[in-house]
Amino acid sequence: MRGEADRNPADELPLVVFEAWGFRCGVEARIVDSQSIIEPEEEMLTAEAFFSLCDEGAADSIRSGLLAVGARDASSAPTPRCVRRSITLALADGLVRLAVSGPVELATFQARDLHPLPALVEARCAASALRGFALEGESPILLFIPRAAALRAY
Amino acid sequence: MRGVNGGERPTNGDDLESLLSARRSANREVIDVDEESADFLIFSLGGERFAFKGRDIREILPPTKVFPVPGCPRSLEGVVNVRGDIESVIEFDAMLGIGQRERDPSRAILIGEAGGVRSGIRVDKVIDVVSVPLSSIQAPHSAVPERLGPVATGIIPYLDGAATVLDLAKIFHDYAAGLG
Repeated sequence: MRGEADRNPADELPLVVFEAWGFRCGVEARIVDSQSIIEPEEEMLTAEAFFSLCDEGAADSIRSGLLAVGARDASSAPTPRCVRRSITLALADGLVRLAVSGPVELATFQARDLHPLPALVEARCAASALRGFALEGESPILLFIPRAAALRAY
Repeated sequence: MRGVNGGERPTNGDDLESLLSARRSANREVIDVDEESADFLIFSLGGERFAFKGRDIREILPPTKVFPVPGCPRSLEGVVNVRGDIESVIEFDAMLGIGQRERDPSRAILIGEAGGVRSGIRVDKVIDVVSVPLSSIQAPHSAVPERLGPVATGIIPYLDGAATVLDLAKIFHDYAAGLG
């Protein structure tokens, strides 16, 4: 077993982990500018819309523009669970603030726990910003590269 | 010598010789160690028997939690954590149009690798692993459903019936291209 002294920072990647559409998601911490609390009357783009996490029926309406928090089709989307937090991403073309569910955490992952998409997922997945998985225990965290989402949808 | 019914009976030596000869012939029919054979994994799906080449199947997973992935077709059930590696799981019946049922996590997952692609494959049940002489593999016939035509490569005998051999490399290739 490797001790703390053997850890190589080059083999580690800090991620900001959050929840969206019932999935645990992660983005590189270096592109997260800040996190904040969402005011009750505030409307903003949701992470599930930005990353195309919804089902195919909802995807078209999401791609057509920004969605207000809680404004999704109730028949095809789960009820938003008290969305109160946001993260702000610093992308090449500016800041993008996204509403997320649940707590926002900073976690460092070893390179060995980061995995590219399996070939068939890469071939068939419509969420083009999804690029891999981070393993935390038994559960995978969806890894996104937000730049890809921004270029595709907006 | 007279037999019980009064007819001529062969001598004991003749009986033994003919019995041994018959057994020798029977053995030759059942086991021919020189004949080339191939291993197949036989499984069931939608009440039908299918087979993959044994060399294409890496392992049969124990009951494993499958994590869904957003943006994927229904036939792509999700991903599994196999000892620290992430593998996709495709629902074979949904992909091939063999029935459309509720997802059943108790069904078997095979890990297959063919044509440079590796993935889990959800099937109903693993039945057997058999070694089949190449000479007994038949070409797929008209009884194979049309939807399986492009991926069915042969028919192998199994017990009192048969199993349709499927080309896993072609299945993976076609699935990546949009089939199912």
